[in-house]
Amino acid sequence: MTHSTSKIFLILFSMVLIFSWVELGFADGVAVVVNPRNPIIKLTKREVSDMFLGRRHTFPDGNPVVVLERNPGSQLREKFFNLLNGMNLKLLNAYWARLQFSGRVQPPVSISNDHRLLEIILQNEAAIGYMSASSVDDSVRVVLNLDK
Amino acid sequence: MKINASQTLPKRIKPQHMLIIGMIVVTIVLGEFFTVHADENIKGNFTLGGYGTLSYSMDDHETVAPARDISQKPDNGFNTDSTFKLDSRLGLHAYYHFSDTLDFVAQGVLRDQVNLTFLNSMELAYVEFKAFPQINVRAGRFGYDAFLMSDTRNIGYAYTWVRPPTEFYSWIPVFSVDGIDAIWRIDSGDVQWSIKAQIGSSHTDIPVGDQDYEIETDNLRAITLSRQSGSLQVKIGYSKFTLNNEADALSSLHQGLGAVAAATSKIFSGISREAAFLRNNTSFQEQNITYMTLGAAYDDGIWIAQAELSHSTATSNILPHGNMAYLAVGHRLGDWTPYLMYSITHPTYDVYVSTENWEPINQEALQEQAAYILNSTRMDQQTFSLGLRWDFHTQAAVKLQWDNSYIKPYYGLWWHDLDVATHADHINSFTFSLEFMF
Repeated sequence: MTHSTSKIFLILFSMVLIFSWVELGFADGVAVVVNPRNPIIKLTKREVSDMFLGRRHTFPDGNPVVVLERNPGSQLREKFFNLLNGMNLKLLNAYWARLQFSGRVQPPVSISNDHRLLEIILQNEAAIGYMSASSVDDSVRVVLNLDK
Repeated sequence: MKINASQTLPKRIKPQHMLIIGMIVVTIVLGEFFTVHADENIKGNFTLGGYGTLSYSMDDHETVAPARDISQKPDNGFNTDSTFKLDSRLGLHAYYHFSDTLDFVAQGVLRDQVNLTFLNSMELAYVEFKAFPQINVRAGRFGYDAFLMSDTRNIGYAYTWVRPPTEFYSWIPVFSVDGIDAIWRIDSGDVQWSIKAQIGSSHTDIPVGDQDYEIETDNLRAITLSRQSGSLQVKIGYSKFTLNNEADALSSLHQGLGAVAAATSKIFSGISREAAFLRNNTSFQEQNITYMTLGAAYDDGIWIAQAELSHSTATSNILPHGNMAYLAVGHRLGDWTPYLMYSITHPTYDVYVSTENWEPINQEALQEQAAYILNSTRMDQQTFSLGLRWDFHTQAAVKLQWDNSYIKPYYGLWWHDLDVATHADHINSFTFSLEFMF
């Protein structure tokens, strides 16, 4: 194998690795975002966890919160909860089954894509959602960054 | 003419098999529906989901049969030593988000009960009004929420073990409440407090003798205070209600006891007093039950622990009351969760022993019958359980559980042969369950 062939092979191999890394969603963190008119600047993991588990219904300043979830089986949702509080989808489903089917709390609305999520957050000061950190733009405020 | 369903089916197909086949078909159809139309559900206007349990239980005694709760009656009385019906169930849940302040919820549950009707199967049917961000009011039929698990008893997928501890939950005669409830949630730092009050009535059919008895409760009130702090929830509750009506199966007994009490009041005052005591303590009507409870649940994703203590009182001894408690601990090892549970119930009243000689009035049989009926609902037992849950799918799990129950007379939670009731015994039972949600 010549030196140049080895180089090409190395580059190709690196590209495959990088592609796999991005594809699996490991290269990017998850950002928790709110409407920029929302006075909240930062939230803790515990506060966000309580909101997305249906335990907490207000922001720390007392204003009501509208939680926007992602599709139940999505990799983004699995990653978000894994970084937030260590829960996997199996635990989450059992947890929400108890709340939903007892009638205590109905699950938040699920949003399928970033575009729709941003659209709703921009319309609603009480909304909170999450997306890949790399997809965040200036239209929303990041209140918590969950790194890999 | 009353039609017996089992007579209209081929001999090899029993009603319980039809129930199971029906559950599987409905689940497959619903699964397909939601797979295809999942995107329609994200709008938040209308969602449909559900849960189910397919379970098989067996025990090592041919003279007793277990009941998960008091609304069940085994097909073959105490001869049932294995069954699909004890824990199998299917729930369908509909949620309509009408507006930011108004939601509608309905839930039907197909489960084994002595009188399976549309109304008895409707566990939830309410409108929820979110008057303020932290105050929600519900009107209609909703879950009885006096204990940690009293509104989640059917949802096997949601909890680790096969069924709520029978010593604690089996004899609670309220499943759903028809009325109004309100919850006030207070967020305080990383702690969430909630106060819930419920008022209303309830209806539950239970077997009494060879007849069904619809327990109608009135003036039902329940108030709970909960504190959630991360993985730990603590809840205290108080509930009280009055039973409205009498069981028809006991009417001749009551007439006889009333007649004895009246006829002997001047000649045999002791017999008269005992007859009046038995009349009152074999009565359901206008009797009050109260529950006081303290519970805690912990789940940090690895360790699971749950415990409850309760003290109940009743104005009639045919209504089981006393002290109840359980403790359950589990440890998640990936998708596997082994667990232990211990539960106990002990009455705060003694076994009734006749005090008078009724031979002079030649009514010993009536006296014996009344004393037996009074004691027959007595619950004095404890169960040690060992189990394993395997979450093999994101929406399904398998559970295996072994229970060893030590039962003292009079087997109030079991269907049993008359001879069994007067001596203590150990009973082993084994359950395999498939739990799922969709």
